Amino acid sequence: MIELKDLHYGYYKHQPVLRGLSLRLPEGHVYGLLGKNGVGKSTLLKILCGSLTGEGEYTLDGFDPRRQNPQMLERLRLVPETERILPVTIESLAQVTAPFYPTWDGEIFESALTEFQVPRNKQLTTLSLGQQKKALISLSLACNTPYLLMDEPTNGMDIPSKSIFRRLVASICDGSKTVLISTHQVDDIDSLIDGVVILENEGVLLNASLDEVAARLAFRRAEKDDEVLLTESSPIGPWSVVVRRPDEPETSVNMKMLFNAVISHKSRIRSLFSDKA
Amino acid sequence: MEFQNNKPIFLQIADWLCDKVLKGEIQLGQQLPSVREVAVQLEVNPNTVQRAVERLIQQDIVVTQRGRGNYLTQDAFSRIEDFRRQRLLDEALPKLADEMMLLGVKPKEVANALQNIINSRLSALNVKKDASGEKNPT
Amino acid sequence: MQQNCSVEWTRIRNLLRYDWAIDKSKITNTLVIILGLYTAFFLMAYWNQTRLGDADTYSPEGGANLATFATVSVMNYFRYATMVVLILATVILHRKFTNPQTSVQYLALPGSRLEKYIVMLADYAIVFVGMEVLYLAVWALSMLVCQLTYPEISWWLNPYGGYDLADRIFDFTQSHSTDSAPDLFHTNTMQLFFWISPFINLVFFGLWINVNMLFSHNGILKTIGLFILGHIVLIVAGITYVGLVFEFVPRNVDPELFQQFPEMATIAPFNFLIKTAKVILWFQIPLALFLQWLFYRQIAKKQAK
Repeated sequence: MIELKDLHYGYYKHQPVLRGLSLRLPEGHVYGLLGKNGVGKSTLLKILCGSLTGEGEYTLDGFDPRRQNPQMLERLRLVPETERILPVTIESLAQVTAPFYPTWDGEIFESALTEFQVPRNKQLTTLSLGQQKKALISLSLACNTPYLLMDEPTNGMDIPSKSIFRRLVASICDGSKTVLISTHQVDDIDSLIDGVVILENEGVLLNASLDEVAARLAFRRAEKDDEVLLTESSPIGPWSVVVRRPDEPETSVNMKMLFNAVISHKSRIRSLFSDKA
Repeated sequence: MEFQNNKPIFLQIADWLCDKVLKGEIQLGQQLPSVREVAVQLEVNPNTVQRAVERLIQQDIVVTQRGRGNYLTQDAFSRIEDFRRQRLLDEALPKLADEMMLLGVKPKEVANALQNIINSRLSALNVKKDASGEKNPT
Repeated sequence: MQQNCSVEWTRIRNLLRYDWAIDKSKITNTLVIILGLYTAFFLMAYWNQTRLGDADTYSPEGGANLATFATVSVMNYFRYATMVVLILATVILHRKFTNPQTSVQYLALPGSRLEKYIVMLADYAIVFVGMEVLYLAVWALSMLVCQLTYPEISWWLNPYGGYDLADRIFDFTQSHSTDSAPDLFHTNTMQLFFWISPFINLVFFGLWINVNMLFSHNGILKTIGLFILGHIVLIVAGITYVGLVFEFVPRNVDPELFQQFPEMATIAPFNFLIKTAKVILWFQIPLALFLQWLFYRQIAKKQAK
């Protein structure tokens, strides 16, 4: 479980990025961490793995990330948005990375590299940006840690690769893994996530499971007497986010529209979700 | 698989599994594809697949055999048929009726057109059946 | 906040292997450059030298004396190469540890702060020792080349080798005879000083890390500036110390003093060598260790807030 109570962080003293953030994320789910650029998604991930020091009370798996306890670190793997690209082959990097993680699974590594079609024996510096990213994602997936934090993993990926990415993440997810994916391209991963966290400068706008969202909001054509939060045009006509009527069947959740609705109706959303556990 | 906008994903997955049963791709006595396999194939969260399976268990279509996996119940096929038949009548038909009334299309026209479509589909299937010698469910 | 003080040697080994894997090409490239440059330097001198003469005397007519060159130049080349390499290593290690852009993945690698700090010191020590080993190897090779080329000359380490280069650097008087005790003393002190100067780098490593911790941004220029400045300061301090104690006026020292007490000619300089060495070793190394401890505490404090 990831738990934050009143987390504050600023890279510079007078420019706080995260202010009084409180969040509770039970384990075993895939969370989408959404928010506009600059709102602090990457910062939050770096704080959770102990690379940055925040103020306030926060724990990951019961550990305080600030202490950088190796027992915590080997249960956690971060895929940063950009990494220094090293002049090594992905295989050599795997050889020296694997010993750190007791959960390392070489088969996952091999199958991910094969599916992504990443050349194993070429230096990372000679690969294209997309291939570098795929190689590093394969490496991190193979660490097979109970906690996996990913920062914009699909940025710059071509469409077939995004599909492969989803398949790979789906294949490693079982009830024991907690995955946090921060993204501003929610379409890429919306089928994978079952919990959504939306951040804004003020803090957490929404933290709910997909079920909780589907119970309170409906995504369909608006009808008379609906409380409409948002309407967008779609190939099949105007599509809206409305407050769900108690008796109507649940609809599927459109992540992108949910995000837009939350951003534009912060207080309404807060009141709608205030009764959840 | 492209998911539709209207129904929760787990329900669409349940339908997808039912389609497989109706097409004969999953048969009585045969183990259902695992939650993980389905998740990977459809690129969805395994929890969502689990919900779909649980829904099918609720509807007495699937049963979990301890230690052995998920299997179809005895009456699964007929139950699915009944559900889908009911859905066709309760959901697809009223929509069709609305459209017909809007455009002034008579039921007889629709009945004839439907018959033609089904006939041509059946003959296409029969051609395939003759060619491959396999049995196709109708 | 309680410090994270667990140390597991397998993890340290894994961290060292990780460092080696990712920095391997950088290291080999640097080695190639160092050896390449020295080889070019040596070959140039080798082919340009006009006069061999007696390996014991300084030849004012010029031309590289191969004996002197092989002894002195390799020593000095490696002094400065070591300094440069240590600066580079410090920058790389520091960036790996604290730069927010590049350090995220490394900091997230399973290992306690103390383990990663030990690994950083070990990396640094390996680089330092490696450079010294390289220096000795290259020196031996140079000696071998000289021996093979001019087998008639004695190629043992020229005790006055430092004398020649010290002259050139510190601009002592032109005319020296090897009988002058004070000159001998200065020579030997300077020579010893050069031998010990890499330890000074430890001090600056510590100082620089601490300076960088006070400023939140990259201090590469500050680093280099500090290294150069500090070296100058220490050399000046060393000369001042030596001079104050032994009346540093090379041209005007009264030769009669040493004629009255000839034993001073041999004993005194030796004592002073020891004293100077002691100052440097007993002061510099504890200072370096103290600065390391300060640095570690500062990192820990910054992490723990």
